[in-house]
Amino acid sequence: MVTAEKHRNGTPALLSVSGLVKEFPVGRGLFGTRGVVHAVQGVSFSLSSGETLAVVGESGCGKSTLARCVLRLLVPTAGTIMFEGIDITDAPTSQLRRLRRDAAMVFQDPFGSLNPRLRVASSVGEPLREARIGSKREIDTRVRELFTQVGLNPEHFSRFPHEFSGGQRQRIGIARALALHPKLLVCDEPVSALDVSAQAQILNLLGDLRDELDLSYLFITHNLDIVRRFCDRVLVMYLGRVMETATVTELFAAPRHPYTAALLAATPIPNPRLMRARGRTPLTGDPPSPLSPPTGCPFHPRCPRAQQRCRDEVPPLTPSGGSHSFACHFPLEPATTS
Amino acid sequence: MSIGSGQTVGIAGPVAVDPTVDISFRARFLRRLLADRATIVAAVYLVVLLLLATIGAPIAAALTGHGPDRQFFNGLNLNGIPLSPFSHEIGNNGQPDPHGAFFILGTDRLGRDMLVRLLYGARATLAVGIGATAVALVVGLVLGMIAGYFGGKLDAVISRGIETAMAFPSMLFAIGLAAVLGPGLVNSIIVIALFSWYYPARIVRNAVRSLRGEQFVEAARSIGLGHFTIMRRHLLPQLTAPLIVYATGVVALNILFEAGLSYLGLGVRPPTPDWGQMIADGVTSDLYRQQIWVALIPGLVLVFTTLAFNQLGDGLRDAFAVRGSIR
Amino acid sequence: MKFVARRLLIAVGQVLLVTLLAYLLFYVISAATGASPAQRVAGHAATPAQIARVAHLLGTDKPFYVQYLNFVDHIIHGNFGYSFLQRRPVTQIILPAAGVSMSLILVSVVMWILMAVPIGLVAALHPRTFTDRFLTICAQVAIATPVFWLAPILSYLLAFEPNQGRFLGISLGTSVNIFPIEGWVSLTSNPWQWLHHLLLPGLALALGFTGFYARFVRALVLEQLDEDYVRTARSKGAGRPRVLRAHIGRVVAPSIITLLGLDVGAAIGAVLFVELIFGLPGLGFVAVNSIQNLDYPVTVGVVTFTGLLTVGAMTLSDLAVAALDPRVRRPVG
Repeated sequence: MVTAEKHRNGTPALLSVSGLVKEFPVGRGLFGTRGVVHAVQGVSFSLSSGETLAVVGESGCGKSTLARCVLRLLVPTAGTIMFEGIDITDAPTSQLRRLRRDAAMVFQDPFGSLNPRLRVASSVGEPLREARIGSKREIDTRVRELFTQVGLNPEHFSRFPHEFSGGQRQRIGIARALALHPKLLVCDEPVSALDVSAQAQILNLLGDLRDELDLSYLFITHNLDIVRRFCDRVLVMYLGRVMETATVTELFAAPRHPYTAALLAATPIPNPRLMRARGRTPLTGDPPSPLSPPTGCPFHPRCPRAQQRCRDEVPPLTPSGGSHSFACHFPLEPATTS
Repeated sequence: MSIGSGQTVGIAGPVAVDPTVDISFRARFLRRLLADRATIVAAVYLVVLLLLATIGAPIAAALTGHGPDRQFFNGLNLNGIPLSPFSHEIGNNGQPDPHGAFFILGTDRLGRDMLVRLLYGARATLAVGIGATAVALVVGLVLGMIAGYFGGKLDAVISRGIETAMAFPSMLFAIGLAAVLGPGLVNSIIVIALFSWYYPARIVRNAVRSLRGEQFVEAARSIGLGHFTIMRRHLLPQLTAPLIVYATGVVALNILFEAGLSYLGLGVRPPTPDWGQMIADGVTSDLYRQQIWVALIPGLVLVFTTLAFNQLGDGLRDAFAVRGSIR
Repeated sequence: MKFVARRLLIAVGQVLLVTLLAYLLFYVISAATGASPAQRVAGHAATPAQIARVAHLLGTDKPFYVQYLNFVDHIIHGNFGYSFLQRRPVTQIILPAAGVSMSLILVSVVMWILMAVPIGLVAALHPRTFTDRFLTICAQVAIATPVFWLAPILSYLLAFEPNQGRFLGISLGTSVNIFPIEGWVSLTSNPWQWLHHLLLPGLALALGFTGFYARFVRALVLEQLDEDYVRTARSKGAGRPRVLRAHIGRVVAPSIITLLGLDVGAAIGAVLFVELIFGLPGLGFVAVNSIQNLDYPVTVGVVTFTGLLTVGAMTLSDLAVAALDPRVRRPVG
């Protein structure tokens, strides 16, 4: 199921992010703002065509912000984003037409991401109307097509969102995202708000669509189980920085960063031997606020292996053979599992 | 004259997760509305009033043969006091003349037919009250939308402006302004609108600000919709419910405001009849002490009309299931 | 502390805006509409040259912003201008009038709070009963009633008629004097009469606000009664009166204070009518007279003064609420 190697060699990256920084001014002092939220602090990665890259981390680590920067819903403070070889970092809205067509977002909240006052057909057809593609009839046909594609009954397309269940609404959201035949889907926790059975269905749908339409996914989630089952590569974020990035196999078998290990330890998997091999490094405490991130390595206040150097120096992202990189001064040893 | 300061009004969002029942918002709304008797009465009254003001007034004038400005010398009794309701004009013998003109609601200070004046007066009061509210709504909607949507400095400036405008002693300023501009229908509308635009503005701004954070707005942005398209297509429809509710409340306020201005002689120009003016006629020179009806009748009608608008607003608010109160 | 400083700064800005608009209103607009102060002072028969000379004496020929700055400067020193019609400083006219209006508002506010809170409470504690419905309807009627109509009617029913020995047309036999019909007695000369003369006008002013506040209190209390923290308190055995006082009171009181601050502006508008009808020489009375007599310096002075008062009241109430409700003080974000 995991096809990590397939698109590794030679294919130009669909999405290439380099040194992305996003800061938000916050607070209301007497004379202007007094505080900056460092949501994303220097993130770099690339995504190849057909690949599914997971971005994981706790709440507040910046993954949602990252997703929004990639789709230019937010303008990055610094860094570069290249999509299909074109620099979209600062491009004015008028030039983002191609981005809007070839990349789309699936939102977390199936309740909130659809305008409750519009019939679902209108919501799904909106990208088509906005891009001025096709007559009304052509749009209708396309919408019905999309409905079938996501597993909904096209007869229901003139209903309102509140008449559908959560899982169905998420399908509608996906249908809308697929309207303009995108190459990249950015999914921001697409199943977190659903119950377990709906989760499975949606994931299956996304998997089928991936094969049918040769899609790439930037998959934001905090659920490592989904990552293991569904994604090719993983990016682990903490307080706006990348802690580790690897293929799914590599990460789950032998995490190098203490934070990743702790995350994995907190996620039970049905393999007692692997679990024992990992060891127990429970995560204590809550992540500090992105308003005032710690100096040096952002994880050092909670890291059992932290030392003075971690306080002083930000560890750079160091590659370690193949596609595995980590940002740690004292990484875990590559474990030898039996 | 109590002026409310708008609190946040909730928006009728997705109501129930009921995938099987296909009742639209409209059907549910009508069902709730029709069950509310008080509001129905208010609505009927207002419709009747509107009809009377537009068509009824000339009909009444034709039927009775009394124009709104026609002064009946015999419409006052021997002491110069206006007649009470259901009276005939005074004949030459000093007694009511059963074959003379009949005044259903009596006469006013100058012997004019009260009923006809009342009906014509409805025109001025309603025209100014509703007209000023319409202007205030448009201005308030635009400013509130801009402030709520764009946030940041624009919002700060507009919100400060709203607060400061609300701090003004509106009546006093309005009087001053009206005195300088002079009486008249259009002037009244301008003055009153100037002092009521901030109510809808505040409501709209708060509503838009909370809507702005909703994911469907983000989704619309991700599709590439422009700001004004989003405002028009996604935000505006959500605002119509609270705006309608609020509008009725503001109309009630503005009617009282207009009556107040007319009372001071700053509303529509005499001899155009106007309820505020009629009350003033009755009250100045203490005429009402000798003939209470002169002031009582226009006052009662004014109270009832204002009451009807308020009740309509309350009823609509309940029917829309809008959360929160308009205060 | 930051909050206080910020709030005061905003208040200063508002005050400047009020003075600017007041000034704009009367001097600039009236000049534009051909009724400039200089003309008025010079009189009908004045020649343009004479008018120009008067303008120079008055200082109204200087550029607008200079006039405005002088105006603000005078205000800071407590000088609200000079009335040519009455030949005395505006401040002298305004201050005693302000005393009258303040007395009226004070008496009225006390009345309406004392009436509205119990009514609102009773209605909230017995929701949807006949009492509740009746009180709600009364409140609605009160809100819909214009002050300038209610005042004469009240005056007629409770002062004039009894005075003539009648009530609602029925003869009473003798003359009953519960309320004086009109007039003003200053606090310093006779405190009891002062109050006595303010009761009826205060009531007329208060009724409309009572309706409003009663509805507000009712809604607020109902909302709080539904809240979890009340249920928790009750489940711990707290009796209803205690819950009301300790918990709900803490929420209702600041809200009422905020409302009061905002309503001062509206109150001033209504006060105007009451003063006219009951013959109380307050600010409204003075203002309306000055407009009718085209005595614009007085009008501007009154409007400025009232604006300052309103801004002051709003600021005070905001600060009071902040003192009572710690949530307000925390900066956003």
